[in-house]
Amino acid sequence: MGSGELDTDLQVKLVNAFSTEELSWLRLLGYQKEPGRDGDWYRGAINLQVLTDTCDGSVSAVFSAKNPDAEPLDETGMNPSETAMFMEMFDVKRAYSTVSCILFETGYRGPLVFFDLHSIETERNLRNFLEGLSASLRLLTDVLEDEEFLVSAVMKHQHLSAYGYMRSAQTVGCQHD
Amino acid sequence: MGICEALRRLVANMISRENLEKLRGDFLDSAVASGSAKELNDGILELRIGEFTVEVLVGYNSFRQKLQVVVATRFDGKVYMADFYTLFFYWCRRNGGQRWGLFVGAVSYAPDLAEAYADLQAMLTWVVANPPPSSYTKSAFRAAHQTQAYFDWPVPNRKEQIL
Repeated sequence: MGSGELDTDLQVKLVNAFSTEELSWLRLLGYQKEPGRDGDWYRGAINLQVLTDTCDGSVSAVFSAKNPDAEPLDETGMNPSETAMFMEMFDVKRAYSTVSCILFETGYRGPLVFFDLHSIETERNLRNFLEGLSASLRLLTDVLEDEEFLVSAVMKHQHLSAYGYMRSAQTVGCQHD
Repeated sequence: MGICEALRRLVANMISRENLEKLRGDFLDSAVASGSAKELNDGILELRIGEFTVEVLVGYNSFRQKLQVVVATRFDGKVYMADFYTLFFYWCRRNGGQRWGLFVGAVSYAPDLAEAYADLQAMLTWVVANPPPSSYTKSAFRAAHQTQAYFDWPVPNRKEQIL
């Protein structure tokens, strides 16, 4: 596979193919595609999103959970444009958490199989990241059916940023641990 | 053969959305018609392999250029999920002596994909008719679960190298 500079179109194509085809096994656990949103899978209150940011070249994989008890965001301290962007990125009805946080919450303390969401500069970087993400999600097979656990974990590990966190290059970690 | 003819053949053999859908549809129809499977919603097949009810999801994975066949079942109060080839490749070879499982490597062209589907159909039919002992199936599911939702052995992907 190629290892040169990553073209934006190729990045979008690979991430969409990955989310739609590689992760199709989520359907066996009752997940469905979010209509009109290529990278999204949902089941009940849980949503899993693999998205690519063509501005900074990053790729993110985040869980979110609908939170029926969420209060509207307090906009104090944010100017209107920031608020609009924030609202768009983080639906106020949801809390967000990264895949590595959910893994951490399961008690997993093994090798971090994907890391550094900002190091994706080449096709090889992207393929390695997606390979790692696939492996991470397979580790979560058992909890992907457990909506109660997932909602709880997402709420506990909610981050305002979709970025993962590494305690070291070898071990999964979370800033809430 | 001229360059134009070669290009025409190349394009004709490319995997397109149309032939992807046709091949998958034909496979599902064939699997159901064979009596070895029934189709659940949304293209998921249900098979009976020995004492296990197994759900199978088949699709082309363009990210890996492979035919992805994921199977899932439940026992001991837990869902197990694995790649079909990982699970039954050796069972089919050891017990059937069949020349199956050729498409664990890259599938880049439509004729190869068609052959991969036919190959898979034969394997599925054979496994349903010749299920492994339950202990084998349980053990294989436990071993394969979480380690390989897709089959990702490195090459060989040619018949001569595998068999």
